[in-house]
Amino acid sequence: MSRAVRLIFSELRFRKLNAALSLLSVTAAAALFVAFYTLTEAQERETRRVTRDLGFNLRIVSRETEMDRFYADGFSEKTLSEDAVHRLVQHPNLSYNHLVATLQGRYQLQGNDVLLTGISPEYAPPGRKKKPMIFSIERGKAYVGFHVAQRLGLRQGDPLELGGRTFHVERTLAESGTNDDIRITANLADVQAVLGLPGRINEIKAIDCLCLTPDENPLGILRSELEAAVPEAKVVMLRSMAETRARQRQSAEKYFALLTPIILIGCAICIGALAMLNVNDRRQEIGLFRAMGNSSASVMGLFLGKAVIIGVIGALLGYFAGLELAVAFGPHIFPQTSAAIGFSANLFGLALFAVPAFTVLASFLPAAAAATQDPAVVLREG
Amino acid sequence: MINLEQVTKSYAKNGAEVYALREVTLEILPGEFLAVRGPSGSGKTTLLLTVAGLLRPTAGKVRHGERDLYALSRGQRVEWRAAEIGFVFQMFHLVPYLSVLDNVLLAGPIPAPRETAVRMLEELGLSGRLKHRPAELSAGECQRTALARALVRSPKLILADEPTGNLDPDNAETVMRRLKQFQADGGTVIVVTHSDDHDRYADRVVRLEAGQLVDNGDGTTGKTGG
Ligand SMILES: Nc1ncnc2c1ncn2[C@@H]1O[C@H](COP(=O)(O)OP(=O)(O)O)[C@@H](O)[C@H]1O
Ligand SMILES: [Mg+2]
Repeated sequence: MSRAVRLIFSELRFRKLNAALSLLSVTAAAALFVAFYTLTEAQERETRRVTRDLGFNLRIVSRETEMDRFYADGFSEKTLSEDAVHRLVQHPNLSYNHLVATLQGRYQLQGNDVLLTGISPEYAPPGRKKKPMIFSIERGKAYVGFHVAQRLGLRQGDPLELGGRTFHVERTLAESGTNDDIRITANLADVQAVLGLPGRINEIKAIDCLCLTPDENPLGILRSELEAAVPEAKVVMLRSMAETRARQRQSAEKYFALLTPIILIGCAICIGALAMLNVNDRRQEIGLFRAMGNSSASVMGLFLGKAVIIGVIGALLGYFAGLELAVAFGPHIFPQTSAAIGFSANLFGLALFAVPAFTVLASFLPAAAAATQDPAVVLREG
Repeated sequence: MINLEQVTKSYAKNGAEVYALREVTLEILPGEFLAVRGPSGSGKTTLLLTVAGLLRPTAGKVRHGERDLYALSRGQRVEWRAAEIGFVFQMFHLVPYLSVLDNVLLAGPIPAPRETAVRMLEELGLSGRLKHRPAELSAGECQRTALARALVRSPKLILADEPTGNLDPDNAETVMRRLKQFQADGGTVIVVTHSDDHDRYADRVVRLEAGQLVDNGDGTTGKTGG
């Protein structure tokens, strides 16, 4: 062990109270930083999850869609080639997540008007692994809306004839009070066959991603991406849903952005004040050290080296304390995603670097005061 | 050879100038053992710090051989001090949390070899105290530790500020004798004392009064000109 390191550790053991209080301040700063960081990430996950449960918020339809008809019918009359969704998925850095192609049409079933909806499996951009957010439907299976099932007396497991094909009723759905009650949902390819529109779709449903900041215009960005990948399409955003989500996310970020600096400044003041007291306690020693032929830079090095050591120990203690805090409070705040709160190598690495750097910054002025202290003043005493 | 040329150190106090040293001219020969005497507040410590390159004079020059000490850069002065100067203080100035041995190894930017430090401490009768902290030592042991620290890097000049001021006669003798031995080995010594107890160790005794050299030990005064 080098002389300087031995000296630092001996001094830490000797002035236990100051060392303990400094370590406590650093640990507190580290723990709060880690806890807030972890909880903010959890919050983002939670928001994403909640949004996912809310459903899609982007509808991509043919450019030729007449919007009055679209809103009146609930779907577009104009179809796109199914290959549009493939082109969209291939677009580099796509902002969309969870793409699903659908084909909807009106269909007469034993004298009843039903909406027939085919949905594709979920598409994810290459290399981006996301848990599928909606279930996919196997070929030959159908989900039957409440009203249709009642009218036709359908039950789970019954056969259902559609366009000359026999489907298996996978489930009948509970009453929803929306046009879902007259909907039959099946695999996209099946519905394309039934409606006589092979390879056609009339809507791509999507969720925009969470990576947009509040100053960006999500719809503008999405539109320009769509323009490049699928020029024959246009996008409609269900604004309220999208905005609620963005607001939720941004308020969490604001909270974090406001609280963190306040806490960190408080800890920095404590660390700096303790370091200043320490420098004052050690005036004799500093004067002596200088008289013994050591440079003021080496005095500075002693104090900053001590800050690094306290910082590293504080980061280790603080990381695990912060994680404990997050685990303790997480489940109350984030019931859906709290299980995902846990050790993160990235955050651990960040803490191990940032906390000592923070401690060094907070100790910088006292260290400079020590380094520039005039040794003659204390050496004259006594 | 150490040369002080018209060295003045003054402080401004409530608008008035306070002189800690006033036009002190003094020559110290290599290998000389010089005692500096004078009442409290007469400028003895100021003189030592000035000679050590730790206190820039208000006027005048301090030369060590060809070197004009205060014309050097700060870094050069630090290097020079590390190589050539050993210090002993009345209050010992040991680092309280370091062992006796580690205190001795504190001197200089690169610590002296451990064996040298241990040998130095053994010679001063501290072989059983290497791992002790200063708080566990007697005053005499503290000062002998400080003396080992001053000697360990084989300096050319030892500056001792009332090194026997807090010691019993036996320990005082030990310290003075060790300094005398350092001189015999070729070193130069400047010792500040408040009494004449140890005058017999010195080749020359100079007297300071109110910052002025009133006796430079060879029958003339240190003041030059009017
Ligand atoms: N920083 C300072 N400001 C003002 N006066 C000082 C300062 N340092 C020393 N002095 C004065 O200089 C004089 C000489 O001090 P010093 O060299 O310590 O004396 P000695 O060591 O002989 O007792 C004293 O009168 C002291 O008050
Ligand atoms: Mg003095």
